[in-house]
Amino acid sequence: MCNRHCLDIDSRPTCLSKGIELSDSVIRTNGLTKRFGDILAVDGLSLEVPRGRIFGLLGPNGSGKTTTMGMLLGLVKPTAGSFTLFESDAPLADSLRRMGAIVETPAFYPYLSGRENLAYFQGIVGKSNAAELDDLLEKVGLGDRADNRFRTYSLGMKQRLGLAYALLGDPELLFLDEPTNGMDPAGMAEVRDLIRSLGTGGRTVLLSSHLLHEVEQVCDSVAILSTGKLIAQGDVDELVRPDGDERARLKTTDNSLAIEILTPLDWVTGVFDDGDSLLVSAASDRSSEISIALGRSGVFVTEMAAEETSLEQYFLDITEDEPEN
Amino acid sequence: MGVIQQMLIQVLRLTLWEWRKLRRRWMPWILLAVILVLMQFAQWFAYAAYHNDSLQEFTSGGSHSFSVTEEVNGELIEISASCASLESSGLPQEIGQLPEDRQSEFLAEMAKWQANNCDGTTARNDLRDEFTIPQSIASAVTESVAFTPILLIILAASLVGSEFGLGTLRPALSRGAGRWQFLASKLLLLLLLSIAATLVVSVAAALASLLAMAIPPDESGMLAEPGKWSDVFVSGGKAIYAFVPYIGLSVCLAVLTQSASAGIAIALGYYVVELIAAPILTVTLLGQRITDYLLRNNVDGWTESAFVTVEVNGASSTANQPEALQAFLLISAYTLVFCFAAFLVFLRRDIAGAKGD
Repeated sequence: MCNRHCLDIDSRPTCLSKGIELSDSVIRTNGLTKRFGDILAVDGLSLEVPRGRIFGLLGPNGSGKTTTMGMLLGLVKPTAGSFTLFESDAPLADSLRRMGAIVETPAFYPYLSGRENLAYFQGIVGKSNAAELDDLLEKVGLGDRADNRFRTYSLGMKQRLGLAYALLGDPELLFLDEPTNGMDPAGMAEVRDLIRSLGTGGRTVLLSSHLLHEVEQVCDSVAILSTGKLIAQGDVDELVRPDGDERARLKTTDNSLAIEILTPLDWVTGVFDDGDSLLVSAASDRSSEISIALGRSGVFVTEMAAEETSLEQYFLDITEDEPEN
Repeated sequence: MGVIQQMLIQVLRLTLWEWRKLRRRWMPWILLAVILVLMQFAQWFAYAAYHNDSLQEFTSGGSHSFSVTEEVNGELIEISASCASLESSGLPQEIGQLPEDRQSEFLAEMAKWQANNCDGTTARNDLRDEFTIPQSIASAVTESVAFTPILLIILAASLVGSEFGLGTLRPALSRGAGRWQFLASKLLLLLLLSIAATLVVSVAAALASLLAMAIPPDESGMLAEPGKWSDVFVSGGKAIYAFVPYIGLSVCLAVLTQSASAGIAIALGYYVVELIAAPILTVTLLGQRITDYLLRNNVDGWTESAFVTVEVNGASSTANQPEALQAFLLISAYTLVFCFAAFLVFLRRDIAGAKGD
């Protein structure tokens, strides 16, 4: 059920132009490839991340999300291809100082406190600002435990410290790989709010998460990877609801006749037989007109409900169709 | 500010932060304590032996020996003697195997050695040197070359390998710390710690000497008699230079294995294998040539202090120590190779997450 947002190499420029200003991107990759022995982890990835947006990087396990982030952070050497950060030719180290990142589980020195860990990572790039540390530790909810050793932290607290680390130096570009991993529901909600607030003021956030409802709530745009390839990219609303249509699930007195009646109507963009019910795609304010059209032909609606189309459903549909490597 | 200047500042900054981090760990302090205890033990043992005749016999019996390897008609002949063996059994039998002209030369050399070492006062004077300033400091520093490399291997592999194990390379490098600067700062810190450890050993030796002078039986009359102060500085410089290849070896192995424990195990294994292999190799001419290029032999030749004397068929492991210049060049070559390999791998390798080691 691949739609027009699905990408292949040849159609990429057309698809990418949808809703994205190519001239102002903070990340631009060109055929980025990484091979680990026989395993092709990232396969010719060409991606543009526009400035000032919260951008989701999605994909099943092993789809190449973390490897892609690793390459952009200079931790993993690309096998082929190239990338540009901030549309600048400056050395990578200079670009990295404008960025913050959590990649996988945050790793810190267990014998140092949370505050000392942050001071170390602040200090090694020549910055020293105790007030910033206090602010960040408060912001992520670690103010009370800042002076305890990292080894005494729970997984959720480690994740919070990771967020504080990523925010050191007020970065222009943030990489957050599973930032709510190990957090309780209240903590997850807090972090979601924090990420939303971070995506303002020109800062770009690249968020990778398995929690698709979280991505849907937070992200403006997403890119979906599968087996190392980019298979879709676009704004969340456009991907999930092409043409702005909603889907309605209905049961009628005669489903076969209902399909014949609804299909020719120009304001109905799709009718699918789904067992004992029908799925009808149309603008949400047209649902009463569906009943009227069917009633005029002697077919009566016995049940009608709005069918929620989620990013999760879209993701499952699109990744299901992708062949395994 | 120039690019090179910025890079150097970054290395110095990283070194400072490495130290701030390291000082919070127990390991460096424990290792320093071990060096101090070992060095102090040697110093106070000499003090005790100096004041105790039976201990004096025990210590002088092993240390004052004369050993020479000669090649005659393509065969190696080992001739060794000690003050005790000369007194009890006379000249070694193997002298008869030497050509006549060489026999007289050898006898003259041995007579000179005997006059210097077997008159009963030399051994006692040597012991006194071990705990009186300034020779006590030079001795402590020179003797530390035997143990400090082992402790430096542990510290260096831990300093680098733990970054892989904890997964902390990712947050450090993804902030733009710079790969070569990061590794260079570790090496610089280890060098500075070697210097600091040598200074601490020196100060401890000096304080112990002052204490030894102050407690009865009083030896204050001999305080400044033996040794020259310049020996202290020469010994210190030589000792620090002798530590450098072991730092390189350990860092290189920790980078290659991405593990502190594997780095320590392999580096210590290499150290021990060299110690065992050197005396075994001296049995043959080819083996003897090989030992000239072993790291430990060159370190011993450089510092002129053998760690252990293992005898195989009468051949001493310290019998053929390389010349100082050769030793200096080989130590430099070993250091360069280890450091080059470490940088090459570290700059090219992908940085993974925590390995849990």
